[in-house]
Amino acid sequence: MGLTALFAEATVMTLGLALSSLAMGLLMAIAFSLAELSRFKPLALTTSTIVAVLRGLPEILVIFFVYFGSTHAIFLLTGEFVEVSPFLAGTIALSLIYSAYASQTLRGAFMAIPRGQAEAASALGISKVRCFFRITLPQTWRHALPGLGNQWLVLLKDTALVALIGVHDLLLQAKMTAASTYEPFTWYGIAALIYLAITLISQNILERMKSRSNRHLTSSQSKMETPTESAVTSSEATA
Amino acid sequence: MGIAVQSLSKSFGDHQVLKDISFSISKGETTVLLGSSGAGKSTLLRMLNLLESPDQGTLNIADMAFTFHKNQRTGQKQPSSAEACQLRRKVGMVFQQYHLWPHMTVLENLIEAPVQQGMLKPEARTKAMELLARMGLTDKANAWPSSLSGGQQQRVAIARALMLSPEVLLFDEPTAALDPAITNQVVEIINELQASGITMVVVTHEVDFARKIASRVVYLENGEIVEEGTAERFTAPQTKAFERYLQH
Repeated sequence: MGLTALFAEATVMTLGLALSSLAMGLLMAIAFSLAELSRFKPLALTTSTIVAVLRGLPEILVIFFVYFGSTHAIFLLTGEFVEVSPFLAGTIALSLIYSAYASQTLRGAFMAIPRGQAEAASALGISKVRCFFRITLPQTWRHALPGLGNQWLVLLKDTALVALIGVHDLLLQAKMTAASTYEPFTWYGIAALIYLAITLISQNILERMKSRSNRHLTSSQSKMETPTESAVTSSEATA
Repeated sequence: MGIAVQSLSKSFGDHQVLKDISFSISKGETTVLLGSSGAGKSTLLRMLNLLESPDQGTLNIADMAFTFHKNQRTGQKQPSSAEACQLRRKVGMVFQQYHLWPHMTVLENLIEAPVQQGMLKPEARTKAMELLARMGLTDKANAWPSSLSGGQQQRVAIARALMLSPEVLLFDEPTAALDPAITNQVVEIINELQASGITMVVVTHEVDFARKIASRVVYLENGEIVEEGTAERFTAPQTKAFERYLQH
């Protein structure tokens, strides 16, 4: 197989890893943020602890722990040796990491929705579940999107860590090609360009999503809001 | 039957906001709950569609009855959310801050609740357009709420509440955020609704506004009813406290 095909395959692997972690991570982030806001204290406390632990550990440790730890745990529990695929372990680990950070962004966004919004829904006899999906969540999105987009870019680059447990991603491919051709500069450089391209495309898509999520604001309001929002985004980016 | 309330009480912590409130309102009347801020009138209004639950007392509204007991753990202290939902479909509410959903157009705001409750979309749209025409907002059907003025948003909120054809409509300080010229529009709408036979309860602290819409008045002070009667009480108050309130 030609190198182009190998790199294309590795890029697809990186994207697959990142996108499936994003999907799973977002669902978990919603669950975590709601659990943390829950009035049932034990649940809120447990979730806060999990999030604190996940945010306190190096990403690579979480990945190793999920990959090697899960095989070991299954062995201890059932006495059987089951190998967890590196892709699955990588996805679980990355989505855990993503959800820990994203849940904090979402929690802030949920709190930014005025109470009256849900109150108006219940005053019209709309059920709690429906209110969450139709009224609260769509509005949360607008507040959370800049933060979530930022964390997506971080997630995209964290996928490179998964090369260490043997997922055949872009970084592993670059490393192998560099070793066999003795041209590390070229091949790591190509990997770098591909990561950069994905990032730039992501940013473009995120911009469009942001302007769509702001479309209900009248021009005067969005003009007022744009500078503050970009200020937040750039400060987050430097942090 | 309209609304009947028997010895409702409510405390927030040590502070008792409503003390043994009883009154009844017959169908088709427009009742104004009048009083200065902190008198408990908003809390009382919110109880009428169970956004607040009383500690004690009974509530009969739109052919449903609820009894509340505070320290009785065995009995059902709070109505189930299904019952509350059912009640709220018959008792509409218009909030002081309108609380329109900003991410939906005016039309989407109107059809959201009825469509969830089983009305077909085309039917809901037709009804929404009729109501918007009645409110003079036909051209705003596809506008975002944030592009509307306060008075327009208020009328959308009224139309949204009317979508469910409620038997009772509650207004919480409907004019508090509006200038006097727009207040008169609200007066006209309320008077028109009264002509159509809907029972209304309006919380306000503005005496002029109250005079223009009320067929009955309930005056509250510190969580207690001080005076209650027909609109004639505005010209012939029976208590010193209400007379003083009317003067300023």
